[in-house]
Amino acid sequence: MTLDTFLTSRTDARPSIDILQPADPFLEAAGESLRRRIFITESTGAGPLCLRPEFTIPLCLARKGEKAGRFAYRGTVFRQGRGEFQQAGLEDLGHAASAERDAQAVRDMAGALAACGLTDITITLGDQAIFERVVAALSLPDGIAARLSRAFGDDASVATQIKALTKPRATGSTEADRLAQAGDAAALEAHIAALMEQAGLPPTAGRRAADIAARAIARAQEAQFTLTAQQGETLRAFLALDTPLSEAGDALAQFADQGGLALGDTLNQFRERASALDGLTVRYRASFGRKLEYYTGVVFEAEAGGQTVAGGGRYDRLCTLLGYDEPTPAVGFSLDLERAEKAGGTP
Amino acid sequence: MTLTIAVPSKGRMKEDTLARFAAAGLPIAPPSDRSYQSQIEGRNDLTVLFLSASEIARELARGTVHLGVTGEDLARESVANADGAMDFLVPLGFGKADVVVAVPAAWVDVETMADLDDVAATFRARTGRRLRVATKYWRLTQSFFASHGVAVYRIVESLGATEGAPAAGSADAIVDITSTGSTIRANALKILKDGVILQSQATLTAAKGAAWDETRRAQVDEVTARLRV
Repeated sequence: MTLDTFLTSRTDARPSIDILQPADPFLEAAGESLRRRIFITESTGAGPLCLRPEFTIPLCLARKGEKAGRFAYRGTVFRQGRGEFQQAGLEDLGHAASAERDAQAVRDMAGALAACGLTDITITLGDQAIFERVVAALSLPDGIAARLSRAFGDDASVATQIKALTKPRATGSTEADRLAQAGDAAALEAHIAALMEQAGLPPTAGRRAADIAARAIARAQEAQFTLTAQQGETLRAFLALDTPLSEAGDALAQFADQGGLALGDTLNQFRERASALDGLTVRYRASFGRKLEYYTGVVFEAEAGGQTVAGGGRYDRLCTLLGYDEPTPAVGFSLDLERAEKAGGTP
Repeated sequence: MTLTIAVPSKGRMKEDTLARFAAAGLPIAPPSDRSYQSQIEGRNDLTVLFLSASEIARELARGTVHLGVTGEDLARESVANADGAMDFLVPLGFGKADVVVAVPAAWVDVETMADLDDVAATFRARTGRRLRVATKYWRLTQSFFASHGVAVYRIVESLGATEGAPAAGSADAIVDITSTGSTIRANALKILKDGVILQSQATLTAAKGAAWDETRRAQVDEVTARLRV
């Protein structure tokens, strides 16, 4: 079976996606840092345009307001530093998230690579949801938990944060700092509102005095928080987990028992997904994640010949970022056909 | 064998450059009428070109001049891989300006880039749009923010009066140059504690891609030695 027949057999349609795309959705969803990695150009009409750097975002935009389904794509993408190369992939849009849907995406990635003749592959899997659950079980202050979750996938940044949390952080000594430390929300808000008025800041555009006061108070409390040695050890032990997926459920359960953490339903779903992937050789690496805001759960990638040839994951937040009215769960993967070919495949 | 040195063609940067070169024993002869070319007085081997500041950075990157006097901020902003294309040889002590990240002073909860990252991460959920940063320093902003892990924000291009953007409602924070910080303070903004992106000044800079040989290297050694004092 060729890659094209495989993708067609697994999907409902292949939406047509233009090469020239509005740049804003990419910058809005992935952030301004994407700008240096794509080919962007000004248009005389509305907003900047870019050469298609990937298919997921335009595909989600093309399916906005349409029925749920599974969609395939194949074509050229353009990136700074690499120039143009071919990608193919599959997106499962609008079906309720489930262990089975996740597993299907991983199996289809392996199937697509097999259709290219690549069967000697190493699949690595991580899970943002498990990490967030571990952090939640440690009952850290919200701001600290959110910051750790955002850093997930960047090992150095997570390690730095854990280290910084082992001692209290310095706090300032201004009037605002004093009010924040005292937790006096009303006085702090009035103080901030006065500063905003003096500065001529529009009171309703952007951050409001109440938002700033609330974060300042939370921040003053968080500055006092320190991670116990045991909590730090628990986080480090979790991030060090690296095991065959078939054994990962038990390893996580044992880890949770030792740390006295309740991983509840998140662990059950993890186990369910792992058994749905029985027969496929997958490694679970607890620290593996993608530092993109819209990834919410499982992430995975495949290596062949020492190169990452495919990757994917669950991105339940992307469609909302792209302006969908309804929450729209989504999971998918993409193949780097240039690297697949270098690894000996025939895409 | 001549060495080409590009210097600013107008304004304060031109005056300061002429004074600095003269003080170093390398007086630049006034160009003849309507010409942009001159030389170090009595030195046929040291050609001087008067160019606009942005042209100097560009010609250094291309290697069409050997040396240039340019602000480090401008060179790093306008050239993709500045360290690969040029050597910043001698800071000249004038044209000093810091490129900084500043936020409204009313943001009492934001002191560091980590704070700004927190605010940026929840900005859209609270306001329906991304945090906007006004600047003309796209490249410096992107790489500095990325090095601090800040990804979700939007740059709003600003070609003047950047420090007024938050009050005008066209941006939430700014990246701009300041020499004393007084304009920043006058606009009720504050510089983040770890928000100094670059301490810039006029710098004698060599183009790595220019045509180099032993004679020219010796000439550069002589010019840098004199200016370094």
